[in-house]
Amino acid sequence: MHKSFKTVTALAAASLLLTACGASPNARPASTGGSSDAPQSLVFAVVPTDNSKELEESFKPIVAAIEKETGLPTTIEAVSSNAGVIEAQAAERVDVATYGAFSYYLAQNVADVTPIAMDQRTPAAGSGAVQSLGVVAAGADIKELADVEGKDVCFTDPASSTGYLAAAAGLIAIGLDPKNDINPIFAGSHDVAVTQMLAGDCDVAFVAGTFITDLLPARGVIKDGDVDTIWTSPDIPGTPMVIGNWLPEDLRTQITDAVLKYNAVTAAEAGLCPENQRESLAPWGNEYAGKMACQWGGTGAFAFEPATEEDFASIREICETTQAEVCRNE
Amino acid sequence: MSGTMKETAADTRPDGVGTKRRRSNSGQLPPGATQAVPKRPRVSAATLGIPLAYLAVTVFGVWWIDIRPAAVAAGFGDIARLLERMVPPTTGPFPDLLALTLETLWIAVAGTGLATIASVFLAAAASRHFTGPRVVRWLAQGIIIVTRAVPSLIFAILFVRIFGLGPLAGGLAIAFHSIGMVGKMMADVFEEQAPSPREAIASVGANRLQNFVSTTLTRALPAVTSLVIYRLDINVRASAILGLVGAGGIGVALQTAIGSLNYRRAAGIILVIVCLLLILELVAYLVQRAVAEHADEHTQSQLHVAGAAQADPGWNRSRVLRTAAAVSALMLFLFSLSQLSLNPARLGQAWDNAAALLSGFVPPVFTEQILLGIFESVIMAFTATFFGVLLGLIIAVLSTRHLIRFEPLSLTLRAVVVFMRGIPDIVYALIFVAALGLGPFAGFLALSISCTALASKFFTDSLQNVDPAPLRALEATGAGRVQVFVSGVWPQFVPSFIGNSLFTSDLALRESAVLGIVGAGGIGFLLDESVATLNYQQTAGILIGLIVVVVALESVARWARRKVI
Repeated sequence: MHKSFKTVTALAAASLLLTACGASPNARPASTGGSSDAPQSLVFAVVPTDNSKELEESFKPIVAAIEKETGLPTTIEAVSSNAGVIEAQAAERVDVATYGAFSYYLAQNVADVTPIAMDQRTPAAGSGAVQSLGVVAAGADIKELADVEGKDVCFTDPASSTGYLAAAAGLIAIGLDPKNDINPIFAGSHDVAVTQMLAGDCDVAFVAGTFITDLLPARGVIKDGDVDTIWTSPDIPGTPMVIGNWLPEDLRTQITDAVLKYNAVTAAEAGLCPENQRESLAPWGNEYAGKMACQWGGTGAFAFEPATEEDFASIREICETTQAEVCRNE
Repeated sequence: MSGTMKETAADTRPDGVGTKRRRSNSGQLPPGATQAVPKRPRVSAATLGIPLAYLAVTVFGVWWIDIRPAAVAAGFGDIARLLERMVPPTTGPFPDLLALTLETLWIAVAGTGLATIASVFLAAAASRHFTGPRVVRWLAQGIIIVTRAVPSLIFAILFVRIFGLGPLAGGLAIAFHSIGMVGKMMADVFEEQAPSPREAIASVGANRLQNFVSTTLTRALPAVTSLVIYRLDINVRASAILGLVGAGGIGVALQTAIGSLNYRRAAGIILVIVCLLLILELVAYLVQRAVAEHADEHTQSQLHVAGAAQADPGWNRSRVLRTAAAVSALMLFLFSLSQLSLNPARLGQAWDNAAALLSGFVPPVFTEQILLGIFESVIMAFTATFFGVLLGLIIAVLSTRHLIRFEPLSLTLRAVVVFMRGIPDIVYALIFVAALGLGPFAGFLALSISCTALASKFFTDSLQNVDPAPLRALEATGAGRVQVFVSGVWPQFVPSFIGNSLFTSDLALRESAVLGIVGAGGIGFLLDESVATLNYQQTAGILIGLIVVVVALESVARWARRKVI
């Protein structure tokens, strides 16, 4: 007993000593946001999107660019919930954020924010756009969208633009009611929707295109020829980068410039990611072949292109078409 | 069998209650009689060491999280603006919401019921009093720990592969994860019992099963029923997991409402959930009164009146009520099972599907991030537990009859605790994010609130189950209420106080997914991320890390129980 008592006391003393010397790793300047005149630091929040990985790591080069341009220390917060980031924006406690296009549609109603940029997969403008795909097991009877009438349909969840809203708008456009003319099943995630469609729990699945083209084949969950694509949605805008309007105008310009100035390759050349470089991706074209590049954002983008509110009008249209429950927040 | 020998040796030690009663008596001697006063019992390493260890971690945690109470006050305006957007609550079409609630309730009842049945056997085998082969005991303990450490998210993705989308996969995911908690707490209840009835029944030649049913299980019934109803309460609240198996229900509706910032609908759903929890709390209270051996004042067994034959228990009104309640609970459970809709055709390919999924988990991958995430979660869970336990203890003492006998206060407090529980962590997280911005501080506050709700529930239950005989004896000697509490209630309460505090940390560790909502990292965020991006090897690494921490906590808890019981 005495021995364990001593150990515990020693531990307590040690932690007290530790506390006495030095600031907490989580300590931050008192005036983060809240005040509109010249903030002393910035907060950059990121939410995982369908195909993001190593979220915090992949945004470090972008934050480095912002710090370089503005001279302000910037912290990255990787957040699992879009509501968390949007509420922090509503309280003016997050200065820059990236999240899905639908989250931006929700955020603009409650927070004073503007999109400044959106991601670009390749050097081509608008290449950050994503699609929702309708897929069936290879050889199934369903050949086109109209065939899904009366079938069991797997979606992701009611608040996903690629996993539900775009498909619902597509169904409405051909005269099918996504609630009553089909039997909707919400599988909770894109990969489960696809695997359970293949297992026979539903006849067709609507999911984000990248799961069918990249992610699931790369993980060996589906093989070439396992699924047939019966429908592709119109382009849904890619991941927006959103900034708080409460920041002083020159600072907003500096941040926008910092994000747009580089692409993944020039960022690597500028030394924004000395430790974490990878080779340029094939779709970026010959110009960049063999050069080293940064992880430029959670989606592995090539660059960011300027964006305005108008670029996200299609989400509003989808919401107006579907009148979905998730689109109304009064 | 050496195991049996050891068990018997352990059982013949003077039991806890007896020791404490002697101690309390010594405290009642007049001050002049110093010669007769025996030496004060030495303070056990567990009762001193564990609180000190918590204090140490908390001091570190307070520094590490960078707790600044002033910041909360500065954020009041933002909190008010957020709360304004939650009123007035709307429910949408009420019949729809009611249907969702019932759907969730059936799945939760089925899952909790299945877990309870499995837990009775596992807990009996895992208890220290188990006299069978050691291997069986270790196996039972292993199953209980692993099912507790593995989050229901993982069971959900596994069972959806095996049984397909639908309520069956959801019910089983709930059942498997519940076994860990119900089994553990049931085993604790079995272990806390005084050994004399068991020895008496064994000495007249009863076999192990007869002995278990007639002494251990019957005596544990009050504690077990309240435990099972509490787990049902947890399972209703945690039903958002059903969204991952395509089963829908009220938890999924709540998640969707919050995700689409429709806070008025979220508030409406939360109110419905709170009503359901209040009903469950009331049922728990009534059941506890009906089956408690010494409900309130009576100290002897009042469960049975004499029957016709000498050894037969007779029937009276309360036994009829008890039996009727038990039969209706069983019918409810059977009905809920019928709602799970098993599709036997699916089972043909079940093994291949499960094997394909599980093979993705090997070899497990450990990264520095995982270690850091576990460290963050453990620090946050311990610090939040420290504050949660303090507040929970105050609430529990005030809502039981030991110190303050003011019925309205205790009823109000109980309702407040149910309300606190009914509000999901994510709502607290959002409120604190609005006030403080993203970061560990907001997460810590949200986690502290859930720890307070957990701890006050556990403490209230065990304070109520305190054996009243020593208390009445103390009162008869003229002891005041505080004296009775200090020397009669507290010594009986210490084992479960320490055990439940550790267990609160254990649960808080799993609830630390809330930290991800506020950008404070932690293991829950990494787990969700690894599952969402299908990085199952990393998921496996995280699970192993979780199991190690839970086993460590459990070992400390077991060591402490050996010291204080």
